[in-house]
Amino acid sequence: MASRVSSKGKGSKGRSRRGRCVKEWSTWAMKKAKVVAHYGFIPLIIVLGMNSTPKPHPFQLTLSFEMSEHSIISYHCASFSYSNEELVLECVRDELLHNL
Amino acid sequence: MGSPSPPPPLGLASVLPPKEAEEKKEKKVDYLNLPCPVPFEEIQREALMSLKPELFEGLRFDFTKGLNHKFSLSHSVFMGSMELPSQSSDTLKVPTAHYEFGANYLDPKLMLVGRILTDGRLNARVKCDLTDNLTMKINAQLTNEPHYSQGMFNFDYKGKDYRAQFQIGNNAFYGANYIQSVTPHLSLGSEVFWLGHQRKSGIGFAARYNTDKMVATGQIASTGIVALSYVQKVSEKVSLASDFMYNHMTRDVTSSFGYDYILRQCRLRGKLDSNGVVAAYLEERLNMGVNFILSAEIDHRKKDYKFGFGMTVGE
Repeated sequence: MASRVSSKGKGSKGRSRRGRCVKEWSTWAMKKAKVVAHYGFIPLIIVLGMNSTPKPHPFQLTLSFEMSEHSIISYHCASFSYSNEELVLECVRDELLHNL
Repeated sequence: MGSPSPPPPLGLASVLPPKEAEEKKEKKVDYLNLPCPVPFEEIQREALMSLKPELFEGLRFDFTKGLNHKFSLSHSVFMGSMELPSQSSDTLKVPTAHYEFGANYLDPKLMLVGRILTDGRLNARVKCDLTDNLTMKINAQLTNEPHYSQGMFNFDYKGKDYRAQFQIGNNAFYGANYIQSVTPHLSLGSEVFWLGHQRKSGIGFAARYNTDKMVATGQIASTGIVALSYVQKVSEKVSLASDFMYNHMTRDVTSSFGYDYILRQCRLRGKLDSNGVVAAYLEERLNMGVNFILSAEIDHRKKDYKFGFGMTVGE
């Protein structure tokens, strides 16, 4: 009888230990998920946005204001030919010539 | 002997179509084809929009820059006083200044909105259409300090003439609500919630009656709150709203009355409260995408005067 009681006690202790283990692991996972969400949410939105069509230019991420007509022209040139450096230089050169 | 025929129409009446055609025919209500009701949490949205604008004290500047039609960034500066909730009747104001950077991604199926402040607090909202009728929403405020973060998951199901929602929040909060259209104008709903850590549960009922010209809502909850509201659309540009709230636990009664003028160049909202509060909020469109904001709230009972001004640039 004593052995039956002791085996029952061990069984319940084992179950509560497993429950505590699960709770500890889930708390650890929630803490890590919270840190990941805290640091990664805004970068995730920016990555998704930069990959959406029409693809925006990385320059647009900065605080740039299109206050004058001239700046709009040079900005459009740069965004149109993001991959083509020569055309960008040409646009900037034309812009400077117009200003002179 | 039949009934005498009506007299022939005279003057302009002979040119206009007969009146019977103009009168709306008494439509037989098709109870199997009722419209979908508004979501349960938006049952009082017209009253809230008119009576509770975002009043603030100080300077507010918001700049939204759209990079394409789905993606935009926002920069927001606020300098002024924020009110802290205090137990005594005195108001506790703390001067604060913060800069908030935000990013929005708006897709038909996925919406992500994130705002991060200079003190490290993040406000995140996610709305994802899992199927045509099932939507998942996540709302979270994450802070650097431990145990102050909050999060809530909502699963919304939209049926033909009903909506159901299930909520899971931190601190073991579980909630569910259901709203059903009973007639083309009336919808009834109820909600239950369970707070795990405090072992508290509650149930509430709500009703909403709306026509083209008016919306009347009533809500009662087992937490001892009774809330009634009535909004009348006087014309295309003018709405009047009134609101009544009774809290049985704190024996608090508040009633307010307000107006909402939506004009071409501006939107003016004002309200008068039974607590002796008079408030007004003006949004004036100066130019395409540039809005000027004025906010005023005068609490005569607590002698608290709050005035704010600001500008919103961008959509």
